[in-house]
Amino acid sequence: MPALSTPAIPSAELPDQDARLVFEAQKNPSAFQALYDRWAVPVYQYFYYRTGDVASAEDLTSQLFLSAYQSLPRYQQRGHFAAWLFAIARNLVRKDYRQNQHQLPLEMAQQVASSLDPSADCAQADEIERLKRLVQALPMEEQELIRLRYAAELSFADMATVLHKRQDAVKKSLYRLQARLQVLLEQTHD
Amino acid sequence: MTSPDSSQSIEEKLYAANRMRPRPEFLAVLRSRLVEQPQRPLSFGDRLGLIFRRSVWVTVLLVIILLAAAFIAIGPQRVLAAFQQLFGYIPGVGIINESAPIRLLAEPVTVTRAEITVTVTSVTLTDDRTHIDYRIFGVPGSAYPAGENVTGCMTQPYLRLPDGTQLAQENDFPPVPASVNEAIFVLPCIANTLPGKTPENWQLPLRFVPAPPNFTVVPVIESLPSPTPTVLANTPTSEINPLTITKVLDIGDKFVLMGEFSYNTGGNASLPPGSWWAIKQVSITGADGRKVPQSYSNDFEQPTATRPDSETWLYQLQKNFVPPVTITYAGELISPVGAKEQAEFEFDAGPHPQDGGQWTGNQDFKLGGYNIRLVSIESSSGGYSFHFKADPGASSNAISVDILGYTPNCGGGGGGDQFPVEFDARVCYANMPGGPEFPHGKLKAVINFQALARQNKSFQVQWSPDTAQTGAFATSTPQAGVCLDSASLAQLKPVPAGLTGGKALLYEQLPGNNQWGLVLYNLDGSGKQVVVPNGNWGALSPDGSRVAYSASDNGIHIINLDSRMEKVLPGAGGFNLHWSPDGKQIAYIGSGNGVIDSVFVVDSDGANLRQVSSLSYESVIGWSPDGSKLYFVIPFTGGAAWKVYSFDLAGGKGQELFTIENGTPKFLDPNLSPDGKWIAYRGRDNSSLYLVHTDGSDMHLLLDNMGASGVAWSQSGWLGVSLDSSSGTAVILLKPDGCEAYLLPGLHGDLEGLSIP
Repeated sequence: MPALSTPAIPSAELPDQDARLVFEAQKNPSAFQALYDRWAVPVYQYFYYRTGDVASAEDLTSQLFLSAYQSLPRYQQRGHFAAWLFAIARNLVRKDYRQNQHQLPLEMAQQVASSLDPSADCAQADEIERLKRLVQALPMEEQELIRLRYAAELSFADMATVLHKRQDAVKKSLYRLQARLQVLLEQTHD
Repeated sequence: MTSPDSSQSIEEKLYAANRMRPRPEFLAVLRSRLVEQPQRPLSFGDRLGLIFRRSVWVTVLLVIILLAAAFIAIGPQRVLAAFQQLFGYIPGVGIINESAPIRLLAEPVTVTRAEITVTVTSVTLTDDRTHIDYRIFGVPGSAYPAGENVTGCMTQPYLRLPDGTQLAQENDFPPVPASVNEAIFVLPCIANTLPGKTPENWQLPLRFVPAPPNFTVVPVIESLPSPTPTVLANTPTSEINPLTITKVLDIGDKFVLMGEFSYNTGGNASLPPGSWWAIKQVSITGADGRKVPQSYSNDFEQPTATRPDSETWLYQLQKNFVPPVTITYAGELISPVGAKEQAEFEFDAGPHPQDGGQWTGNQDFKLGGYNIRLVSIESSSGGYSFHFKADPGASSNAISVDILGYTPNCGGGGGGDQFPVEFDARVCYANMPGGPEFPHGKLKAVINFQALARQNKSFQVQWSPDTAQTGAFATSTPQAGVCLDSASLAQLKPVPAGLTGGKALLYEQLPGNNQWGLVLYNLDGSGKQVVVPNGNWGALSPDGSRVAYSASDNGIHIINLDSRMEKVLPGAGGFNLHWSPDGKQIAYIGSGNGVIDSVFVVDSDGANLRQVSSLSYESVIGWSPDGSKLYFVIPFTGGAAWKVYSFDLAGGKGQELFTIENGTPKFLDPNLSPDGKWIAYRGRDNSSLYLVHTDGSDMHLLLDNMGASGVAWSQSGWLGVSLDSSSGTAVILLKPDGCEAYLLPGLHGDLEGLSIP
């Protein structure tokens, strides 16, 4: 029997944003739009940089949100909605990869459309393109760190959940990787 | 190692290198699909479909080739019989290779530590997987993190074989060798619990035995659509039909239909470039015009699309229809018209915009021939929301806002499906340390306006089962005790005049904007009163004089319907509100201070707030007729099962009563009748409604697969239920004993309260 705890008076505090949105979506399906608005672009970006093409990214994004919409009840508000969402995403892209053998050749990294402001100077654009090629040359595990942090824009806590690692280990790995990329970027500068 | 601060510039570059905005049309289409998709497994885009595991697909292909040869050699009937024996379906597990031996768990295994129980309830072992069902009960809310910024334990369970081999879980577990008949199920920790809060390293010894001869495996018959699906007359022959059926499975009492809908209009030369389909409604009807009842399970995964820009769909149709089945996708062809227009404006967000910050707009723009007024701007931790008021029809176009110099994470806006004159456009940004900067200070923003043309369109395909192959089937007869099913809804009479003195409290979308609120109606749909424009979880007091509700700040408010005086209950915050029979107390689900969704009780004047339970994710069922006991449910972790408890408020003692095993994994919405006789709750298919006594006896199906959502009892014993379908929400009234039932034709929202003298 659940114990009668000491009568702590809870404050009428708001649950965190995603948790509240999930509650609302379970009660009122149209509230799922807010979750979609919040996560559609990070999800798409993650899929795009995993698969390298727009069609696959769109297809996987659709699959993920429709799956998440139907699977929302299995997410029982135990925190880390983003981690749950991207755990589904990683499963989807793994299946897609097995079926379609996605590889983004190094030379294609140059063709990936830049999202930089067209008015940005050419040197900055060139540096970003070089950075993309460097990332594409990393081992898959390190590419995944980059994608989860900078494409999916996950917190370290969520990344740790998705990767089944400790949060401090994820932070250390990412900071080391950043430092290495900084050095490589400077070395490849013409 | 370089410290994080000195690598700040590399972080910004990495963010920039991982930016890729999706096509706005793609985002809008997907958004509209999610908007239109009822949250139940009955409509299009149901993503729980079928996919054979790759090994089984290869096997299937080889078998088909062999069967083709066998057809010629020994004739179709004997081949068919042989095929049917190869693949089977186990509910809860999925499609299996029936020719291989099946093993099961010899008996359930339970381990209890520190009042927490882990139980492996069943295991099914086939040649390609090991499917394990387990559940956990008794985890206190305090064991979980309070929010998403803290990680609990996420180590996955595994199977340890006698030789030390560990089988890791990925959906299911890998197959256990046929010579191995025991294993240890190891649960390193309970998911997402904090270190030290619950016992760890659970080990449950499992023993496997051959499945008994009477173990149910449903034979599966797979066919491509036969005959070939027909494209019906209302689909223009000059256009390619984007709707196709790709596969059909017969799994005993159901057909599983799979197909695709292609949103890409590029293949249709007659259509304007940049167009896309926005599907608003999907219906599946039989030859008699009645909707085909569908069912839901988690056993299938969505198949992969075979065409670009396509969405796959899957429906499980109960064998209870008159063929042929017609699948209709109705929606719009949306096409951009003319060039995009833009207008700029400025606002000062201040150096540190806070959550809930507001600015007055009061700026007028002329875009696309429409007058559009920016009324206000609001900031939240995610971004900004721009509230507009415009000429009628303006919001039917694509309207978005960008803040110059900042790359957003999301964006969109407009009026949704109903194109109201007041609507919002949102733009959001990651607001994390090291992430893209959240816009602040003096900001320049741009309103983007793209005129859209909309043309109603529908597409259809028809399919008939091959009755020679599957056997003839007829409309099934309802189970005993079932009051209504989807076929009988159309025959319900409107509520008689003698009952129209009652009131119904609904949660529904308010006209003119995108807000939802609580609205009171007479039972005939007259006398509409908006009680709370932005409240939720409404509950009518037993005498019908007051409404308690959960406000947008999570606080609990009570409003007197006569005086419209409103009070806030200090310190109380939550949802799932239930009035005591005497109207003096409210039970609800609250969170905060280390508690996640546990039961609280407060007097209706705000005094005497106390917590009743301390587990998590609970739901209130209701009060005993004398108000001395409170009933509530607590879910298992994993597996959709709920333990029902009664709690004696005076003695402070609780008692476990029984377990609901067939409830929905979504919101169970249990509700106790005022006479204490029946608990109504939503079933596993998230569509049916069941009744059970408070001692667990006489559990039976009341409403069969009718899209049951909101549930409310009146003091006089009427049960009101909202029924969701692809064509909207209906509200019915019935007396469970005797099945006297009526439709409330003027009501279409989610039922939250019912008062009938």
